Amino acid sequence: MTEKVIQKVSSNGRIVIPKEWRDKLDIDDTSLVELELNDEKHIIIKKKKHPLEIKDVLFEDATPFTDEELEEAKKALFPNNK
Amino acid sequence: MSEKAIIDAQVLFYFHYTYSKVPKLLQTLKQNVIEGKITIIIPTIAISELLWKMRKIDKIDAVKEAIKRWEVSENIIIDNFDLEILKLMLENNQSHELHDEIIAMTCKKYGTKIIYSTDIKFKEIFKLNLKSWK
Repeated sequence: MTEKVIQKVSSNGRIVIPKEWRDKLDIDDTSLVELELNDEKHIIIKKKKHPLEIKDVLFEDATPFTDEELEEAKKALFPNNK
Repeated sequence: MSEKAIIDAQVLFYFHYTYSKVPKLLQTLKQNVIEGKITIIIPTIAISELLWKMRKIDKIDAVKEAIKRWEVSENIIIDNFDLEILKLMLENNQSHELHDEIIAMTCKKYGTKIIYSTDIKFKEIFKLNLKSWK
């Protein structure tokens, strides 16, 4: 279902994202939005998501990277290093 | 301009690990990166260490995906080991342990003293501002 609102644009081009939509998309005053103007002259506003915010856990099945493992990894890179 | 910090392989791992099991300091760091309060620099040497770990458990695709995300992320810089770092190494007398030296000189390249790691040597030898979660 597509929701729509009609808004008056202010003299300097500002519009307001309705509170209900902001809540739904978890947009607050620290969020960034991306504005896209397409060939059909439609403006699309998307909440900008930082790639670190993606919820899937890439290394979920692994065990944490221990100090001992890190030492082993260093040795793999520089075997003769002291 | 936001603050800059270097991170090591363990931090990289925790960025994509079950959030509740991530040390509090690194949870905050991740949030600060997302909000643009800090820019982190990932030395490619740290990525290679992560790759070493993930190869052992056959999770190469996860590393590929992580790299893809870092490459397009704001406030994340992947630093290739380069001639600039090598020249800084030529002037460095603090330690010639290659791994640590490359990481420490990467800090110098970016004009930061902040490093997220548990390795005390960065503090004791290179006088860096160590942000450790231990």
